[in-house]
Amino acid sequence: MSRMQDIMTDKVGIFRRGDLLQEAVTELQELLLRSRRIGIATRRAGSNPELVSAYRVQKMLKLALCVAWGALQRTESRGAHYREDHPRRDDAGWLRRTLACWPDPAGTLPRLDYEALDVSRMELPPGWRGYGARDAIAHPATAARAAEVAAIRAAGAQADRFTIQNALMPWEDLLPAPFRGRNARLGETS
Amino acid sequence: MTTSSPPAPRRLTLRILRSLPGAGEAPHWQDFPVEEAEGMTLFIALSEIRALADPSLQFDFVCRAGICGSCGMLINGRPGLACRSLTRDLPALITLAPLPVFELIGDLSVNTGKWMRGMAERLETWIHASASPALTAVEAPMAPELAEAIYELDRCIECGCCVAGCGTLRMREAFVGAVGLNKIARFRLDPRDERSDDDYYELIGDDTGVFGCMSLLGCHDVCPKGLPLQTQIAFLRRKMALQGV
Repeated sequence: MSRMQDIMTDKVGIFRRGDLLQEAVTELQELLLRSRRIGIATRRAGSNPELVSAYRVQKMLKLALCVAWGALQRTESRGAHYREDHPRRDDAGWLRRTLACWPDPAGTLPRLDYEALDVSRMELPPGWRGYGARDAIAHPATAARAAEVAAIRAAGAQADRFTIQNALMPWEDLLPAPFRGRNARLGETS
Repeated sequence: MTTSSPPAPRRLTLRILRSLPGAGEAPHWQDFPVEEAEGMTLFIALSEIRALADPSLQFDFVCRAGICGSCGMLINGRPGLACRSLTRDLPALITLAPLPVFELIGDLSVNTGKWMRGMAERLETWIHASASPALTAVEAPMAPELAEAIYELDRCIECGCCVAGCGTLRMREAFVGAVGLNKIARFRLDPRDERSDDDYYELIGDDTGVFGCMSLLGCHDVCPKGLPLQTQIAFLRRKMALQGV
Protein backbone atom coordinates (compact mmCIF):
# COMPACT_ATOMS: atom_id res chain seq x y z
CA MET A 1 0.00 0.00 0.00
CA SER A 2 2.77 2.43 0.85
CA ARG A 3 4.47 1.53 -2.47
CA MET A 4 1.24 2.47 -4.27
CA GLN A 5 1.10 5.74 -2.34
CA ASP A 6 4.69 6.52 -3.32
CA ILE A 7 4.03 5.77 -7.00
CA MET A 8 0.93 7.95 -7.07
CA THR A 9 2.73 10.83 -5.34
CA ASP A 10 5.90 10.62 -7.43
CA LYS A 11 4.53 9.82 -10.87
CA VAL A 12 0.81 10.67 -10.98
CA GLY A 13 1.03 13.90 -8.99
CA ILE A 14 0.67 17.59 -9.80
CA PHE A 15 3.05 17.68 -12.76
CA ARG A 16 2.58 14.66 -15.01
CA ARG A 17 4.61 13.32 -17.92
CA GLY A 18 3.90 10.51 -20.34
CA ASP A 19 6.99 8.46 -19.55
CA LEU A 20 6.44 8.68 -15.78
CA LEU A 21 2.77 7.83 -16.13
CA GLN A 22 3.74 4.80 -18.19
CA GLU A 23 6.18 3.70 -15.49
CA ALA A 24 3.48 4.19 -12.85
CA VAL A 25 1.00 2.07 -14.83
CA THR A 26 3.54 -0.72 -15.24
CA GLU A 27 4.47 -0.73 -11.56
CA LEU A 28 0.86 -0.53 -10.41
CA GLN A 29 0.02 -3.52 -12.61
CA GLU A 30 2.79 -5.49 -10.93
CA LEU A 31 1.44 -4.47 -7.52
CA LEU A 32 -2.09 -5.47 -8.53
CA LEU A 33 -0.89 -8.94 -9.53
CA ARG A 34 0.97 -9.20 -6.24
CA SER A 35 -2.07 -8.03 -4.25
CA ARG A 36 -4.14 -10.89 -5.62
CA ARG A 37 -2.00 -13.28 -3.60
CA ILE A 38 -2.26 -11.15 -0.46
CA GLY A 39 -2.22 -12.96 2.88
CA ILE A 40 -2.72 -11.78 6.42
CA ALA A 41 -0.65 -12.61 9.46
CA THR A 42 -3.06 -12.02 12.32
CA ARG A 43 -5.82 -14.42 13.22
CA ARG A 44 -7.41 -12.27 15.91
CA ALA A 45 -11.20 -12.35 16.14
CA GLY A 46 -13.28 -9.19 15.99
CA SER A 47 -12.65 -6.23 13.75
CA ASN A 48 -9.28 -6.79 12.16
CA PRO A 49 -7.61 -3.75 10.61
CA GLU A 50 -5.21 -5.94 8.66
CA LEU A 51 -8.06 -7.82 7.01
CA VAL A 52 -9.73 -4.53 6.14
CA SER A 53 -6.54 -3.32 4.44
CA ALA A 54 -6.19 -6.63 2.60
CA TYR A 55 -9.67 -6.27 1.13
CA ARG A 56 -9.21 -2.62 0.34
CA VAL A 57 -5.75 -2.56 -1.15
CA GLN A 58 -6.79 -4.51 -4.26
CA LYS A 59 -9.61 -2.09 -4.94
CA MET A 60 -7.38 0.87 -4.22
CA LEU A 61 -4.89 -0.42 -6.79
CA LYS A 62 -7.66 -0.77 -9.36
CA LEU A 63 -8.71 2.82 -8.73
CA ALA A 64 -5.09 3.97 -8.89
CA LEU A 65 -4.81 2.24 -12.27
CA CYS A 66 -7.99 3.92 -13.51
CA VAL A 67 -6.46 7.28 -12.59
CA ALA A 68 -2.97 6.61 -13.95
CA TRP A 69 -4.08 4.82 -17.13
CA GLY A 70 -6.71 7.47 -17.85
CA ALA A 71 -4.18 10.26 -17.25
CA LEU A 72 -1.69 8.58 -19.57
CA GLN A 73 -4.25 8.49 -22.42
CA ARG A 74 -5.35 12.09 -21.92
CA THR A 75 -2.73 13.95 -23.97
CA GLU A 76 -3.70 17.46 -22.89
CA SER A 77 -3.81 19.59 -19.74
CA ARG A 78 -7.16 20.27 -18.14
CA GLY A 79 -7.87 21.59 -14.66
CA ALA A 80 -5.87 19.65 -12.10
CA HIS A 81 -4.56 17.30 -14.78
CA TYR A 82 -1.37 19.02 -15.95
CA ARG A 83 0.82 17.28 -18.52
CA GLU A 84 4.28 18.79 -18.93
CA ASP A 85 4.49 17.13 -22.34
CA HIS A 86 1.03 18.42 -23.39
CA PRO A 87 0.58 21.80 -21.69
CA ARG A 88 -2.35 23.04 -23.85
CA ARG A 89 -5.99 22.34 -23.23
CA ASP A 90 -7.37 20.50 -26.23
CA ASP A 91 -11.15 20.96 -26.46
CA ALA A 92 -11.20 19.66 -30.04
CA GLY A 93 -9.78 16.30 -29.09
CA TRP A 94 -10.49 15.92 -25.39
CA LEU A 95 -13.72 17.68 -24.46
CA ARG A 96 -15.03 14.35 -23.30
CA ARG A 97 -15.42 12.39 -20.13
CA THR A 98 -13.32 9.32 -19.32
CA LEU A 99 -15.43 6.37 -18.24
CA ALA A 100 -13.43 3.52 -16.75
CA CYS A 101 -14.79 0.06 -16.08
CA TRP A 102 -13.20 -3.26 -15.23
CA PRO A 103 -14.88 -5.96 -17.35
CA ASP A 104 -12.18 -8.60 -16.91
CA PRO A 105 -11.60 -9.50 -13.23
CA ALA A 106 -8.31 -11.16 -14.13
CA GLY A 107 -7.12 -8.19 -16.19
CA THR A 108 -4.69 -5.56 -14.98
CA LEU A 109 -6.09 -2.56 -16.86
CA PRO A 110 -9.53 -0.96 -16.95
CA ARG A 111 -11.43 -0.46 -20.18
CA LEU A 112 -11.69 3.23 -21.01
CA ASP A 113 -14.67 4.66 -22.86
CA TYR A 114 -15.24 8.29 -23.69
CA GLU A 115 -18.43 10.28 -23.53
CA ALA A 116 -18.40 13.48 -25.55
CA LEU A 117 -19.78 16.66 -23.98
CA ASP A 118 -22.40 18.55 -25.97
CA VAL A 119 -21.15 22.11 -26.41
CA SER A 120 -24.40 23.16 -28.08
CA ARG A 121 -26.29 22.70 -24.79
CA MET A 122 -23.92 24.59 -22.53
CA GLU A 123 -24.81 27.81 -20.78
CA LEU A 124 -21.14 28.78 -20.72
CA PRO A 125 -19.30 27.13 -23.62
CA PRO A 126 -15.60 26.43 -22.97
CA GLY A 127 -13.42 29.46 -23.42
CA TRP A 128 -10.79 31.61 -21.81
CA ARG A 129 -11.82 32.57 -18.26
CA GLY A 130 -9.43 35.44 -17.72
CA TYR A 131 -6.44 33.61 -16.22
CA GLY A 132 -3.60 31.45 -17.51
CA ALA A 133 -2.32 31.24 -21.08
CA ARG A 134 -4.89 31.76 -23.80
CA ASP A 135 -3.80 28.79 -25.88
CA ALA A 136 -6.56 26.20 -25.67
CA ILE A 137 -7.41 24.32 -28.83
CA ALA A 138 -11.06 25.21 -29.37
CA HIS A 139 -13.83 22.73 -29.95
CA PRO A 140 -15.41 23.20 -33.42
CA ALA A 141 -18.86 23.86 -31.93
CA THR A 142 -17.72 26.46 -29.41
CA ALA A 143 -17.89 29.59 -31.57
CA ALA A 144 -21.42 28.81 -32.80
CA ARG A 145 -22.72 28.20 -29.29
CA ALA A 146 -21.00 31.29 -27.91
CA ALA A 147 -22.72 33.39 -30.58
CA GLU A 148 -26.03 31.73 -29.80
CA VAL A 149 -25.69 32.48 -26.08
CA ALA A 150 -24.80 36.10 -26.83
CA ALA A 151 -27.84 36.38 -29.09
CA ILE A 152 -30.19 34.98 -26.43
CA ARG A 153 -28.79 37.37 -23.85
CA ALA A 154 -29.11 40.34 -26.21
CA ALA A 155 -32.67 39.43 -27.17
CA GLY A 156 -33.64 39.04 -23.52
CA ALA A 157 -32.02 42.26 -22.31
CA GLN A 158 -35.35 43.42 -20.84
CA ALA A 159 -36.39 39.99 -19.53
CA ASP A 160 -35.85 38.77 -15.95
CA ARG A 161 -33.11 36.30 -15.10
CA PHE A 162 -35.50 33.33 -14.95
CA THR A 163 -36.61 33.86 -18.56
CA ILE A 164 -33.02 34.14 -19.78
CA GLN A 165 -31.99 31.11 -17.79
CA ASN A 166 -34.81 29.09 -19.27
CA ALA A 167 -33.90 30.16 -22.79
CA LEU A 168 -30.27 29.11 -22.25
CA MET A 169 -30.96 25.87 -20.38
CA PRO A 170 -34.61 24.83 -20.78
CA TRP A 171 -34.60 21.95 -18.34
CA GLU A 172 -36.57 23.28 -15.39
CA ASP A 173 -39.00 20.38 -15.77
CA LEU A 174 -36.19 17.97 -14.86
CA LEU A 175 -36.02 19.42 -11.34
CA PRO A 176 -38.10 17.72 -8.64
CA ALA A 177 -41.31 19.75 -8.26
CA PRO A 178 -40.57 21.13 -4.75
CA PHE A 179 -37.38 22.79 -6.02
CA ARG A 180 -38.82 24.62 -9.03
CA GLY A 181 -39.72 27.76 -7.09
CA ARG A 182 -38.04 31.05 -7.91
CA ASN A 183 -35.30 31.65 -5.36
CA ALA A 184 -35.31 35.11 -3.84
CA ARG A 185 -32.04 37.02 -3.75
CA LEU A 186 -30.88 39.68 -1.34
CA GLY A 187 -31.54 43.17 -2.69
CA GLU A 188 -33.93 41.95 -5.36
CA THR A 189 -37.59 42.98 -5.33
CA SER A 190 -39.83 40.44 -6.97
CA MET B 1 34.45 25.19 15.06
CA THR B 2 32.64 22.10 16.02
CA THR B 3 29.94 20.49 14.00
CA SER B 4 27.18 19.31 16.21
CA SER B 5 25.23 16.32 15.01
CA PRO B 6 21.56 16.31 15.85
CA PRO B 7 20.82 14.47 19.08
CA ALA B 8 19.80 10.86 18.65
CA PRO B 9 16.01 10.48 18.56
CA ARG B 10 14.34 9.33 21.74
CA ARG B 11 13.28 5.72 22.05
CA LEU B 12 9.65 5.79 23.09
CA THR B 13 7.67 2.98 24.63
CA LEU B 14 3.96 2.94 23.95
CA ARG B 15 2.31 0.81 26.61
CA ILE B 16 -1.07 -0.09 25.20
CA LEU B 17 -3.98 -1.76 26.97
CA ARG B 18 -4.93 -4.62 24.64
CA SER B 19 -8.27 -6.33 24.93
CA LEU B 20 -10.91 -7.94 22.79
CA PRO B 21 -14.30 -8.27 24.46
CA GLY B 22 -15.99 -11.61 23.99
CA ALA B 23 -12.91 -13.37 22.60
CA GLY B 24 -11.63 -14.83 25.86
CA GLU B 25 -8.61 -12.54 25.77
CA ALA B 26 -7.80 -11.06 29.18
CA PRO B 27 -6.99 -7.33 29.04
CA HIS B 28 -3.24 -6.87 29.27
CA TRP B 29 -0.59 -4.21 28.72
CA GLN B 30 1.66 -4.58 25.75
CA ASP B 31 4.78 -2.49 25.11
CA PHE B 32 5.72 -1.26 21.65
CA PRO B 33 9.03 0.51 21.03
CA VAL B 34 8.89 3.46 18.64
CA GLU B 35 11.66 5.75 17.50
CA GLU B 36 10.58 9.36 17.90
CA ALA B 37 10.55 11.58 14.84
CA GLU B 38 10.30 15.34 14.41
CA GLY B 39 6.75 16.55 15.02
CA MET B 40 5.49 13.04 15.73
CA THR B 41 1.93 12.71 17.01
CA LEU B 42 0.45 9.67 18.67
CA PHE B 43 -1.47 9.07 15.45
CA ILE B 44 1.79 8.70 13.56
CA ALA B 45 3.30 6.50 16.27
CA LEU B 46 0.27 4.21 16.34
CA SER B 47 0.15 3.96 12.55
CA GLU B 48 3.81 3.01 12.58
CA ILE B 49 3.14 0.26 15.12
CA ARG B 50 0.29 -1.05 13.01
CA ALA B 51 2.37 -0.95 9.82
CA LEU B 52 5.58 -2.42 11.22
CA ALA B 53 4.89 -4.33 14.44
CA ASP B 54 1.33 -5.47 14.94
CA PRO B 55 -1.27 -5.10 12.17
CA SER B 56 -4.03 -6.31 14.49
CA LEU B 57 -3.83 -3.27 16.79
CA GLN B 58 -7.24 -1.61 16.86
CA PHE B 59 -7.57 2.18 17.08
CA ASP B 60 -9.70 4.75 15.27
CA PHE B 61 -8.59 7.69 13.20
CA VAL B 62 -10.21 9.58 10.38
CA CYS B 63 -9.14 13.19 9.96
CA ARG B 64 -5.73 13.32 11.72
CA ALA B 65 -6.46 16.99 12.49
CA GLY B 66 -8.66 17.17 15.58
CA ILE B 67 -11.91 17.65 13.67
CA CYS B 68 -13.56 14.24 13.51
CA GLY B 69 -13.31 13.23 17.16
CA SER B 70 -12.60 9.53 16.55
CA CYS B 71 -9.23 9.26 18.26
CA GLY B 72 -10.13 10.06 21.84
CA MET B 73 -8.20 7.83 24.24
CA LEU B 74 -6.62 7.87 27.67
CA ILE B 75 -3.10 9.22 27.23
CA ASN B 76 -1.13 8.65 30.42
CA GLY B 77 -4.50 8.42 32.15
CA ARG B 78 -5.92 11.66 30.76
CA PRO B 79 -8.58 11.78 28.03
CA GLY B 80 -7.31 13.47 24.87
CA LEU B 81 -7.12 13.31 21.10
CA ALA B 82 -4.23 11.14 19.90
CA CYS B 83 -3.92 13.08 16.65
CA ARG B 84 -3.31 16.34 18.50
CA SER B 85 -0.91 14.92 21.08
CA LEU B 86 2.71 15.47 20.15
CA THR B 87 5.08 12.87 21.53
CA ARG B 88 7.60 15.60 22.38
CA ASP B 89 5.16 16.85 25.05
CA LEU B 90 5.03 13.41 26.64
CA PRO B 91 7.52 11.29 28.64
CA ALA B 92 9.34 8.42 26.95
CA LEU B 93 6.89 5.93 28.45
CA ILE B 94 3.39 6.63 27.18
CA THR B 95 0.45 4.55 28.38
CA LEU B 96 -2.60 4.39 26.13
CA ALA B 97 -5.95 2.96 27.13
CA PRO B 98 -9.43 3.14 25.62
CA LEU B 99 -11.87 5.78 26.89
CA PRO B 100 -13.99 4.48 29.76
CA VAL B 101 -17.83 4.73 29.82
CA PHE B 102 -18.18 3.89 26.13
CA GLU B 103 -18.75 0.40 24.75
CA LEU B 104 -15.39 -1.20 24.07
CA ILE B 105 -14.80 -2.51 20.56
CA GLY B 106 -11.23 -3.67 21.12
CA ASP B 107 -7.83 -2.27 22.13
CA LEU B 108 -8.09 1.54 21.84
CA SER B 109 -11.29 1.53 19.84
CA VAL B 110 -14.58 2.44 21.54
CA ASN B 111 -18.09 3.03 20.23
CA THR B 112 -18.62 6.70 21.06
CA GLY B 113 -21.26 6.96 18.32
CA LYS B 114 -23.69 4.69 20.15
CA TRP B 115 -23.48 6.76 23.32
CA MET B 116 -23.71 10.06 21.44
CA ARG B 117 -26.73 8.91 19.50
CA GLY B 118 -28.49 7.89 22.73
CA MET B 119 -27.70 11.31 24.20
CA ALA B 120 -28.88 13.13 21.07
CA GLU B 121 -32.18 11.26 20.98
CA ARG B 122 -32.73 11.78 24.68
CA LEU B 123 -32.07 15.56 24.46
CA GLU B 124 -33.56 15.98 20.98
CA THR B 125 -30.51 17.89 19.78
CA TRP B 126 -32.00 19.26 16.62
CA ILE B 127 -33.85 22.44 15.63
CA HIS B 128 -37.48 22.24 16.70
CA ALA B 129 -39.49 24.45 14.34
CA SER B 130 -43.22 24.27 13.69
CA ALA B 131 -43.14 25.66 10.14
CA SER B 132 -41.35 23.80 7.39
CA PRO B 133 -38.61 25.94 5.83
CA ALA B 134 -39.53 28.21 2.91
CA LEU B 135 -37.26 26.91 0.17
CA THR B 136 -37.27 29.94 -2.11
CA ALA B 137 -37.14 32.70 0.52
CA VAL B 138 -33.93 34.42 1.56
CA GLU B 139 -32.73 33.03 4.90
CA ALA B 140 -33.65 35.08 7.96
CA PRO B 141 -30.67 37.23 8.95
CA MET B 142 -28.84 36.62 12.23
CA ALA B 143 -26.63 39.06 14.12
CA PRO B 144 -22.96 38.18 13.60
CA GLU B 145 -22.38 38.13 17.38
CA LEU B 146 -25.14 35.56 17.82
CA ALA B 147 -23.88 33.45 14.93
CA GLU B 148 -20.42 33.54 16.51
CA ALA B 149 -21.79 32.54 19.91
CA ILE B 150 -23.67 29.58 18.41
CA TYR B 151 -20.64 28.57 16.39
CA GLU B 152 -18.44 28.67 19.49
CA LEU B 153 -20.57 25.93 21.06
CA ASP B 154 -21.11 24.14 17.77
CA ARG B 155 -17.37 23.42 17.59
CA CYS B 156 -17.97 20.33 19.74
CA ILE B 157 -16.74 17.25 17.84
CA GLU B 158 -18.30 14.65 20.17
CA CYS B 159 -14.95 12.99 20.82
CA GLY B 160 -16.14 11.79 24.22
CA CYS B 161 -13.22 13.19 26.25
CA CYS B 162 -15.59 15.14 28.54
CA VAL B 163 -17.66 12.01 29.08
CA ALA B 164 -14.59 9.95 29.93
CA GLY B 165 -13.31 12.67 32.25
CA CYS B 166 -16.63 13.09 34.09
CA GLY B 167 -16.84 12.09 37.75
CA THR B 168 -20.63 12.32 37.83
CA LEU B 169 -20.98 9.75 35.07
CA ARG B 170 -19.29 7.16 37.30
CA MET B 171 -22.23 7.49 39.69
CA ARG B 172 -25.10 8.31 37.37
CA GLU B 173 -25.03 6.23 34.23
CA ALA B 174 -27.87 8.21 32.65
CA PHE B 175 -26.11 11.57 33.05
CA VAL B 176 -26.04 13.42 29.72
CA GLY B 177 -22.53 14.75 30.25
CA ALA B 178 -21.00 18.09 29.35
CA VAL B 179 -21.42 17.29 25.67
CA GLY B 180 -25.19 17.00 26.15
CA LEU B 181 -25.49 20.14 28.24
CA ASN B 182 -23.36 22.02 25.73
CA LYS B 183 -25.76 20.95 22.97
CA ILE B 184 -28.73 22.27 24.94
CA ALA B 185 -26.87 25.56 25.50
CA ARG B 186 -26.28 25.74 21.75
CA PHE B 187 -29.92 25.16 20.75
CA ARG B 188 -31.10 27.49 23.49
CA LEU B 189 -29.16 30.30 21.78
CA ASP B 190 -30.49 29.46 18.35
CA PRO B 191 -33.49 31.63 17.38
CA ARG B 192 -34.57 28.99 14.83
CA ASP B 193 -35.26 26.55 17.67
CA GLU B 194 -38.67 27.38 19.09
CA ARG B 195 -38.26 25.44 22.35
CA SER B 196 -38.66 27.46 25.55
CA ASP B 197 -36.83 27.10 28.86
CA ASP B 198 -39.88 25.17 29.99
CA ASP B 199 -39.16 22.55 27.31
CA TYR B 200 -35.46 22.47 28.18
CA TYR B 201 -36.35 22.02 31.83
CA GLU B 202 -38.25 18.87 30.88
CA LEU B 203 -35.07 17.59 29.20
CA ILE B 204 -32.33 18.51 31.66
CA GLY B 205 -34.10 19.67 34.82
CA ASP B 206 -33.19 16.62 36.92
CA ASP B 207 -30.12 14.82 38.19
CA THR B 208 -29.46 13.09 34.86
CA GLY B 209 -29.25 16.62 33.48
CA VAL B 210 -27.85 19.89 34.71
CA PHE B 211 -28.63 19.29 38.41
CA GLY B 212 -26.65 16.03 38.40
CA CYS B 213 -23.36 17.81 37.70
CA MET B 214 -21.11 17.90 40.76
CA SER B 215 -19.00 20.72 39.30
CA LEU B 216 -15.83 18.64 39.31
CA LEU B 217 -15.32 20.11 35.83
CA GLY B 218 -13.00 17.42 34.53
CA CYS B 219 -14.89 18.00 31.27
CA HIS B 220 -13.69 21.58 31.10
CA ASP B 221 -10.09 20.59 31.83
CA VAL B 222 -9.85 17.88 29.20
CA CYS B 223 -11.97 19.29 26.35
CA PRO B 224 -9.58 19.20 23.35
CA LYS B 225 -11.51 22.02 21.66
CA GLY B 226 -11.33 24.29 24.70
CA LEU B 227 -15.10 24.75 24.88
CA PRO B 228 -16.38 26.97 27.72
CA LEU B 229 -18.11 24.04 29.41
CA GLN B 230 -17.74 25.43 32.94
CA THR B 231 -19.54 28.68 32.02
CA GLN B 232 -22.20 26.95 29.99
CA ILE B 233 -23.10 24.42 32.69
CA ALA B 234 -23.21 27.13 35.39
CA PHE B 235 -25.35 29.36 33.16
CA LEU B 236 -27.77 26.56 32.28
CA ARG B 237 -28.06 25.55 35.92
CA ARG B 238 -29.04 29.08 36.90
CA LYS B 239 -31.60 29.32 34.10
CA MET B 240 -33.07 25.92 34.90
CA ALA B 241 -33.19 26.65 38.64
CA LEU B 242 -35.15 29.84 37.89
CA GLN B 243 -37.44 27.76 35.72
CA GLY B 244 -37.99 25.29 38.55
CA VAL B 245 -39.08 27.74 41.24
